[in-house]
Amino acid sequence: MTTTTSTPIRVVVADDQALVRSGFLALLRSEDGIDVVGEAANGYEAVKVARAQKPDVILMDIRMPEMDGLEATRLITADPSLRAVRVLVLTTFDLDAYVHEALRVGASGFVLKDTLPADLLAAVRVVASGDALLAPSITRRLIEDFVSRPIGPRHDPRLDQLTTREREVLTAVAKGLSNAELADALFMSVATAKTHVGHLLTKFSARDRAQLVVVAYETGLVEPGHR
Amino acid sequence: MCDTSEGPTVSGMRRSPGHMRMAQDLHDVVAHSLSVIAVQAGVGLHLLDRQPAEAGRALDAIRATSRTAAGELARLVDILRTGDAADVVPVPSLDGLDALVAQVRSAGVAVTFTVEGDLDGVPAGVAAATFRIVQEALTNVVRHAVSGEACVGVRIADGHIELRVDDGGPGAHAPASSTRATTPGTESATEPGGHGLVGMYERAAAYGGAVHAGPRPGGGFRVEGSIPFTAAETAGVRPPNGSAGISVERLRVADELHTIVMRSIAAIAHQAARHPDVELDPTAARDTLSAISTVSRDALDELRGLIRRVRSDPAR
Repeated sequence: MTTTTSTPIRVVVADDQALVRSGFLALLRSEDGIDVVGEAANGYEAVKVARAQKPDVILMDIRMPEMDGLEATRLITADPSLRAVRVLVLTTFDLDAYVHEALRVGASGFVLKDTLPADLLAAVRVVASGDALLAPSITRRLIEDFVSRPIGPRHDPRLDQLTTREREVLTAVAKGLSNAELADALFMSVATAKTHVGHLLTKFSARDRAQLVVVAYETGLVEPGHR
Repeated sequence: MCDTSEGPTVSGMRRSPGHMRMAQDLHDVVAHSLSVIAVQAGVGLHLLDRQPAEAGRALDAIRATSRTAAGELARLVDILRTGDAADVVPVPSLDGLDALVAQVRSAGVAVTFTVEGDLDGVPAGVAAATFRIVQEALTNVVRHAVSGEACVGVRIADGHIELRVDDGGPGAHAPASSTRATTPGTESATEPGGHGLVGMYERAAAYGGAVHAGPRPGGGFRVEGSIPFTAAETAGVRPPNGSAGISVERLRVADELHTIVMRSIAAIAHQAARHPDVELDPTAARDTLSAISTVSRDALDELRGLIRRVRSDPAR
């Protein structure tokens, strides 16, 4: 059992189906290290609660009345005061178009609603920590699908601002490696790995790890199909 | 183990487009009940030891939800067996759009309505889904409209049909030539559009299309969507007398959907009826919740597989 005194992860649940919402709320409330700070039944409420509570993670159902989860995600990711909020999209039918769009507008990942509770809780922790991608191979495949290949000069000037080490770390992140894994692969400490990832997030004004992967593909640093 | 006899299937029944639409609608609702049941079962299992009261609540919720879903399925079976669904549900087609728009105008909303392309070239199922989506969007406009204006555009091109329904605001116009149903992000807190968005998504998705709804950049609300179809499909469903037909493949998909949903709901209802007391018999409660979790999750996986197959081959 961990002895760290890290602050609890603050979570909001947004889902229009009352029984789904209450189920997830009961689950999250029962968990040590997680605090439920709000709930919402549609996209409008989700944005309102996100702005009021500034949670670490918001579980966002895609299909809701009044305003859907995609639109709510857009509004949240466009809001500078909500930079630290991670959106974890919930879906019943993982229709690629919706999931693509969610990732494209800044969601950190998605989970099926019928995912087992232990896996759902793990997903919340993974996106909150930012140390790894959620479902790395699926997430990368989805990002590959929607990022258009860079046309014109292969060299993207945005890469010029990176140190050699940072390029290596970005490449590793884009391959889906967690901080622990890339620290191993690149012979550095995990703390150093985290520092590099932090610098990368700042240099690219990237919201989170998933968005770093998007950047890596957009700049041509990593090619689709690269495993 | 529970009774695995099929019971009446869709294949034994009348198969007019009206029946198919009703089947689609009711199956959509039941599929979402499966999701609710899966969540409740999972949470109930997870909290069984620490919070037995939550597990008890989960079992109650599952029982109620499965009962409702079973009732809906029974009603569906009844409708499919008896009578002419055309009396119950008029077959929606794109020909009905004019009448629909006229209705909305008489409700006091100024509607701009444009159509581009050949409506006759659209297969019956896709046409019905498009009509329903536009109908739902316009119903919401009438219910929630602030501006008293709406703009409806339907465009057929390049093997897909696009729709857009804009509620109010200046500058509304027909859909742009893009198959991506997206709305640019906006910070404005506009008045909400409507309910029934789940049904819209489902209807489009069943044919491999997509719908998006959200506030418009200029103010107001937008529902837009795009559904693909193939020429072969169109050819296959246009009998010479002009009445809409349904492709064999669509019927097969509908049957599969019905079977998955029917079996799983029956199994879940059977399990939930056992009514184990979580405090007195936690083992039975665990077994029940575990079985329900497995059945509902398996059914959802099968439904996802079915949807993926439909989407990857729009001729299906």
